[in-house]
Order: sequence, then C-alpha cells, then structure tokens
Amino acid sequence: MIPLRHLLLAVAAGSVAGMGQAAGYRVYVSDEYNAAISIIDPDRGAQTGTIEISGRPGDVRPRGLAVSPDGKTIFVSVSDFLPRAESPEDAIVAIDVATNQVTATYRAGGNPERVAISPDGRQIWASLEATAQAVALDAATGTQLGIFPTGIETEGIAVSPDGQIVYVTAETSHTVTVIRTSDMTVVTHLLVGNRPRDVIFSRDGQRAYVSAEIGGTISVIDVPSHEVVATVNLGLDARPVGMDLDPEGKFLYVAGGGTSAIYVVDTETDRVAHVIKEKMGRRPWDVVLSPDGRKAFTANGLSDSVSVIDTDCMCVTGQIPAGRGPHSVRVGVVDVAN
Amino acid sequence: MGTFTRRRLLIAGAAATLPAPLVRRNNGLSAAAAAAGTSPEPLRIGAVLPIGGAAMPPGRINIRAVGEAARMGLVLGEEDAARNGELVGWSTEVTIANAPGVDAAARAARRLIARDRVSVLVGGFSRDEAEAISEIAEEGDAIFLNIAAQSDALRHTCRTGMFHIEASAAMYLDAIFGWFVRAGYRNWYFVHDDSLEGQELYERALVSLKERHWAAEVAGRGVLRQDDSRDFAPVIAEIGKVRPDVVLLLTDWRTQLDFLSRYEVSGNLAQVAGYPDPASQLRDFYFAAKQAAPVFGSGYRAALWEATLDSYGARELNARFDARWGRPMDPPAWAAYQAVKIALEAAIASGSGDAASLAAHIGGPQGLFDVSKGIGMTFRPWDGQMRQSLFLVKINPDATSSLALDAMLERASLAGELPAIYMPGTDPVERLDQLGEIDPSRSCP
Repeated sequence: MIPLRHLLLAVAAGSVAGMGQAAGYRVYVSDEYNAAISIIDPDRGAQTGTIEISGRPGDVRPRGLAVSPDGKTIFVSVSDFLPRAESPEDAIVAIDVATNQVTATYRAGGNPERVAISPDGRQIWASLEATAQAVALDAATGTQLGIFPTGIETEGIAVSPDGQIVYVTAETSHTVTVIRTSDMTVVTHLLVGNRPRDVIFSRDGQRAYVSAEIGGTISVIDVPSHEVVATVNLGLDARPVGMDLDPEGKFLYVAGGGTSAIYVVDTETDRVAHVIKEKMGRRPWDVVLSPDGRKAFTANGLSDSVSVIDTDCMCVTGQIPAGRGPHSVRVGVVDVAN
Repeated sequence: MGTFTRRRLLIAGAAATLPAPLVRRNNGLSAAAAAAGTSPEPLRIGAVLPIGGAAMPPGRINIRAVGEAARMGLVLGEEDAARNGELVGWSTEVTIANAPGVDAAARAARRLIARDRVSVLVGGFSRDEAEAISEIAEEGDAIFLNIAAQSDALRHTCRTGMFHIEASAAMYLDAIFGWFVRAGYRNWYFVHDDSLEGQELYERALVSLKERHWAAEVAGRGVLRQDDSRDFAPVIAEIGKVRPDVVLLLTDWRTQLDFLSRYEVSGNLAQVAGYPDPASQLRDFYFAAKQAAPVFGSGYRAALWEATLDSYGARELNARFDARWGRPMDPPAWAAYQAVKIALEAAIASGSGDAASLAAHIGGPQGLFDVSKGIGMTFRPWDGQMRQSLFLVKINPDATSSLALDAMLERASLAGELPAIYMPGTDPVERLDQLGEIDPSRSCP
C-alpha cells in the first residue's frame, strides 16, 4: 500500500458565485484557459457563476470532470500546461454542488487529465498524463490505493458500474489498460483506435466505448472478454472525444470536435443514428446528458460556450456562454428538498 | 563508413513491471500473434545518419546537426516504442549507423540488412542517398522510410516499399506561396543555384504560381554557381532594380546564410524567404539567420514541425523530447521519431515485421497514423508521400545563442498551419492534398 498522500480538506480556492436555483441540477463546465469552473443554470439557460480553481489562468488548467454517484460532488482534475512531471498544481479538486464550494483537494500525481469515481463513491481514479500512469485514491482520506503503468499520454478513465474494472486510455499508445480493483492489478492492455480519448461503460457494464480522436472511431469493447467487438466509424475528420450515455443507455452521445457535431450512436446497432450539426458551437470537446435525458449539453472549446440539445428533436435549442476554452461538462444534482 | 552503434531496448522501469503476457489485440490485428500471446521476432529498424566525425569539413554538405537531431528523435522513438510495444507484446531494436555521404550510406544500408537483419531502413539526407538506400531496401527485402530528402524526382521513382515522412519540395513550395501570396506578397524574385536540384526547385516554384496562385507573378531570377566562390553582388543588384515584394532563396542552408548577410546591408527592401531544407529548419539555423541578417534573417519560414506547437498532443510529444534531451524537438528529430512509431504501429497492426506486411499496411487503406498533427495521416498511393500539414514559423529577432532549453525554444515561434486542420465541412484528405503533387491517376506498386 502506498503511504498516505496529502489530503487538503480546507477550502483551497475561493470565489464562488451563483447560488440557489429551482432546477434539480446544475451544469458544470471546466474552462481550461480560465482556470475556473463555469456554473450553468439549465432552466435560465445562463451562466450563473464561476468557481475559481486558480488565480493563475493560463498556467493552471482544469480539465476532466466527474460526478459522485449521488450527484452532489463534482471532481475536477487540475494540472499545469507543462506536461513534464508532477507540479504543485497537479491535483483533484472536489466541489460541493449544494454550496459550490471547494471541499477537498487531493494530491494525485503528474498532470492528471481526467478523473472517475467508483460507483460506491469511495475511490477516486485519475489518469496521469505526464507519467503514463493511473492512480486510485481513497476519497475519504486521500490515501493512494494504487498506481498503475499505462500507455503513453494517459487520458480517459472510467470505472465499471459494478466497480470491479477500470479502463484507462493512452493517446500515443492507442491502448486501453484494464485494471481489476479487487486486487488492484493490471489485467491486460488492448489496442483500440488511434489516439483514444474518452472511455465510458454501458449501463449494464457489459460493454465499453472508447473514442479515438485521430482514428475517427468508437471502439466497442466486450467487457467480460476485454476485446474489441465492433468499431463505429464516424469519419476521419470527426475527432471524437467526450461521450455520454442517455439514462436508458440506448444512445451514446459523442462530441465530434473536428466537425463541430454531436454524433448519436444507437448502442443496439452500433450505428450512427443522428448527427447534430446545425447551430452547434465550435469544437465540442465533451457532452453530458441531463438526469432525465431530455437535454444534452456540450463543452465547446473554440466558441467558449455550451450548446443545449433537445434530445427529442435532436437539435440545438440554445447557446450558453461559458469561460475560456471549455474542456469538459458534467451535471451536478441539487438537493431541492434542502 | 563510421562505426555502428547498437542501441538496446530501453524499457522504462514502469513498463518492465508489467505482468506478462499482457497481450490483447483488437479484431483488426493479427489473430496469430494475439493467440500466441508472446512476442514475435523484434521489429528491427536500421537508421543511416550523416552524423560524421571531427574530420567532417565545414560547409553546406556538413549536415551533422541534422543527423544528430534525427538520432535524438530515433532514441526517443525507440524508448516510446519499447513502452508501447511492451503493452501489446512487441519489441523493437533500433540500430544507428553513422554514415555521411552516399557511398557510406549505401554500405551502411547493405550492412544493416545483411548483418542486423533489419526490415526497416530510415534515412535519406539527400536525393542521391535516398535513391541508393531505397534501391538497397528493395533488393534486400526492407522498406525505406525517408525522413529528410525532399526531392520531387525521388518521389517519382515510386520504388516499392519507399515512404516519405519528410514533406516533398512541392509541398514546401505550395505552403510558402500559400502563406505569402495570401499575405499580399505577389511579385516574386527567385534565387537558385545552377545544380539540377536548384533548377528543379525553380521550375516547381513556377508551377505552383502558375497553377495555384494566379495573383502572383515572377519578377525575375538569379542563378548562382554551386561552389564556394559565389558572387551575390549581381543578383542583389538586380533585385534592387526589379524591386520584388519578396525574394525566395531556393538554395541550401549555407548559401541562404551567406546571401542574407550580404543582402542585409544592400539597401534592398524586399522581404526574404528561404526554402526549408532540413538544415535550415533547425533552431541553430534560426539563430544563425538572425545573426547573419537581424532584419531580413528573422522572417517567416516553413517547417515540417515546430517545437512550440502545443495542440494535437504536440505539447506532450515536445515535452517528452525536451525532458529527454534538454533541447527542442527539431523537425528531423520529429521525422525520425515518427519513422519508428509508424514502423512499430504497422508491425503491430499487420502482426508481422517483414517488409511486405509493413509496406502493405503503411501504404494500404488501413494505414492511418497519428503523428501529433491533429488529424490522421495517410500515405499517397501515387508517390508514397505522407499527407500532412506544415507550419509557418517566425524567427525571433531577439533570439540568443544560449543553449538553455527555454532560450532555444524562444528562437522561433509558431505563426501558422497549412492546410488548417480545423475546417468542418471539407474532406480531410482533399484538405491535406492541397500541398504537393496531386496525381491520383498514378499509383506506386
């Protein structure tokens, strides 16, 4: 077991604005070049505040986001722009959705890019881009539970719905590393499309989807065997990155940064069912579904905005300004009763 | 020929800790290799570099710095290949031969095939050298990855198993005209030497202007003797008379420096652009150009790669190179690195390190490669040229001689990309084919 690492429970970063709204959820956007998180009220269709991650925008970059199983905590992977080794900025930051306050900062390792939370909420997993590793942390104590070699330029990371398996992508190696959580062991590595970015498990955990930015594909992995069983071709120019599933798991939404489009893949047929382009912001890098699945929100890296998609018409219904360089987007659940 | 240096696998500590065998291949890869779950024969790569020695004479043929940059790229490529290959059960051996000049390069190539049993040859620091190595590769059942020879004529030879990671002269010229003409530089004066290569560059420049940049015109040209007693005065005097918008030096790196130093004090006002042979894409050259001509030597240059590029995963690749060597990744280093990466990915995908399998994958429909330029790159079937974007670099007039990493990075900065990668609504292959010879009717065997 790796010794206890730093866990800074004190509030690490300050200015918070934008409190209290009627909606049952808020949308959080990591603004890579703003060193901040934008808070969006989906009912008002407006940014209602920001959470400052660092006072040094341009030096510190928040990127990957994850949400706790109860939806009440947003985790942000934070690093600097110098992917050579671990720096003081490299951390996982936890934000309480109810208060929009930073509640914890975890030391993670070199250049954490994306973050995932185990289904029981007890483990934080992060991809360490600079050191070609994945790390597991105890969410309560910050203790490092394990650190694992991956391919080069580690990026996407996801925990299976049963909490037994973690998939980690590596951009330069075109690989997914499979980690078994019961004994914290690397099981295997498998090849997927060129420059894999994001990874997501199906609702039942039987499949996983990996977006390959340069390949322009989605690799469909059979999780029990850890084998690629299908490849969805979105086109060389699609540059797919972030993904999300609707609540039923029927449609996989894929952000196509190269074509400024959202590709909607039918998970039963592994075919593209819809391509949403009209009125889409520029270079969508991530996408998230609302809890009821009726809306999707995109993080548009080049237009500093969030596009709102109605999933009935599969069309863009609005644009919401965000900060500079939106990278990832997640939904946090507001406890309306409180 | 110099001595051979055997580089052994450099398996990073973390990779060495991986439990074995950890081999899974996707359904597009070799079933046999996957079933075996063990490493096949190592992929053996031999590189022929003009590193030279202390006796290497100064002058335009001394491209030791280019060879050294390529060597550093190969080493990082080998180290990354060890990590990447280990994940999926492949190993790579890179052998580097120090062999400046055509004859030495040919001997080295033969020896690498015969003694080291390489199936991939990397090199090509002149047209003659590349032709010689490609011929030996073809005879010896190896593929040849050209990382530095830009000749269009070389691409027309269309030899089996020859692929060009270095951009062609036509691609560089199209890129240069694309940038400058759009910026309003319409009236061009060309300077080239009296060699066959100089004449070919000039003629290709005319083709680019005639077929793609109708708004531009030729103001004149000056021809230099290709020896060490060149007299620039008549050419510079004529430039003063015809007063072009821009002078394009279609010469080697050394001639460009000599010309710039004389032009700087001539009183002419036309901007000067230089043809980017590999030696003139080094950061050492950027500083030398600025030193030779603080005004006209600190202009814009076309480049295969830029060490300050921070998009498309380039930030991470540049950072790894910086950390490994303490100096920026010059374009020949990038090309050499990509040669190893492309060869290994072809071997993994095809399940074989033999030349035929590698060539079939690299040149075939499945041959799609991520070279940290933001879009999947393929090789043109008609000439084996890798489709790719090029970069516009601005030399920093305040560049210093410091060899500190940050100071070397600051010798130039990224100014543009051509073709622009982010162009939704256009065909990505057609977009990349905006540069260079477009002749889909032709096909290499």
